[in-house]
Amino acid sequence: MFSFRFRAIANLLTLKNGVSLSNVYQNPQSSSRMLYGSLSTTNPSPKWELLSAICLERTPIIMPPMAKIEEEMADMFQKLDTMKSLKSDHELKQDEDKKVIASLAGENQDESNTDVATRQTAQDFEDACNEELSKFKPGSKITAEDLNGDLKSTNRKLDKHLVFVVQEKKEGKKIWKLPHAQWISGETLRETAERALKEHVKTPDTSVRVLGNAPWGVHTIKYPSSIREKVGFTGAKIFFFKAQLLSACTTCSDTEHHWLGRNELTEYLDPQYLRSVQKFLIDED
Amino acid sequence: MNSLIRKMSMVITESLMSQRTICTNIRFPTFLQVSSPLLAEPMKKKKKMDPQIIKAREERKRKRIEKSIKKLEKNTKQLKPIEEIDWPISLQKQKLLRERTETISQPQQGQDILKAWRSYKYQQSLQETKMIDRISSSQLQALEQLRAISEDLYIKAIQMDDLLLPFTAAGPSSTPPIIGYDVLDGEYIDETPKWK
Repeated sequence: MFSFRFRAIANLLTLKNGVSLSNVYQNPQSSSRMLYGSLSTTNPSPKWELLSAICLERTPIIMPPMAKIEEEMADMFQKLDTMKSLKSDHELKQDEDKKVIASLAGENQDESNTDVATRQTAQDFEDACNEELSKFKPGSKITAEDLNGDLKSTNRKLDKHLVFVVQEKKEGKKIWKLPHAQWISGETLRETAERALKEHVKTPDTSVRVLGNAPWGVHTIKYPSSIREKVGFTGAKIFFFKAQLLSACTTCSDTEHHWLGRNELTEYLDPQYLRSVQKFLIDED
Repeated sequence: MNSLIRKMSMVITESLMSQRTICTNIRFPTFLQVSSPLLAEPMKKKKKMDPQIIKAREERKRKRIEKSIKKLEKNTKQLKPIEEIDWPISLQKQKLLRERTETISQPQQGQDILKAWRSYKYQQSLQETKMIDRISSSQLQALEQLRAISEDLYIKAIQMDDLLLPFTAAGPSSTPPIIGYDVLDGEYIDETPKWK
């Protein structure tokens, strides 16, 4: 029965390459060993406080710049394709124009002068098109907030992921964490995460997409023995839920918050906490 | 006097005989000149057609024409099998005209780029598989720990989320969207059906 459940989980997680992890993770003995292992290290049935945190990410808006090898490759294939292709109507017209100009150089200029003047060569058309293109200014890839270093806005680092992080004041210390909330009986962990989101972020539900009912990661905090007796819990477990920000968000929250890129996360989050979080975040250069 | 009258009548009769005239006695001509319409059969009285029959005839004609139009349209709707599709004949004739004459320069450089590309892509795919492994193991670990705490929450966590699938995501573009960009209306063909 245990192995059946395990297979169910493994099937839920489909890989990009179509290789299922059921071969790797379908070892019931090792996993049951882990279960009993946790029970035997501490006193029978350790009590954990359940917390649910939400990892809200602003996904990239623009593509990252091409690596050198990618540029070379694209260039090479572009040249190869043009070489193997046939000439278009525009190019044929250009060839004709060249012939006309060449023939004009030898002939009388009086006869065909008016003809040439009224004729719009292919080159003229191309120049007009290029001019029109140069007038169009696309949005700039580096925004003002990039240059400011305004960590509160989502309008920076457009080709990277940004994670929403809030500040928590505990016993005088200011700690940066993902927004979390305590689990209340009667709700699922996902609902707890959504509640945590609502408390910290002003955007309505539709502009955030929570990715699934299952948690993406877990972080264990063990309380020191003095606190354990007070609170009655051996520690706390924070279950992380991943969500995507679907719309732009200029002033998302009233509390102290930041939208951090991957490098900045290492500066702001606790190392142990960071490790648990980094396990389920997508790689970036 | 009599001789004068006789001469006149002779002239008249001669002239009358040269033209087309109808008369029974030349001595007493009727001066009735005849032309082809007068010689023709007198017109028959036109019978008034039943208006319903006329309408029925016109309807039948229209239906026949519409049927033939539909048949022709059916032919155009049927797609040609791919084996039959060929480039337009005008372009086929121009093929020689449109061929290019440039050749590949530095084929060795191309080979070097391809080699570098292969190893780059291989490394990329290795990293991606590692990343996927890492993320999924993190999820499995979380689910295991949840199971150890509460079976009920675990079962709720492994439920299918119906809202998540079908999953769509708009991919990143090469430049960010311009705020306040005035999108021009494109050309459109009005296809509202007209009922007669």
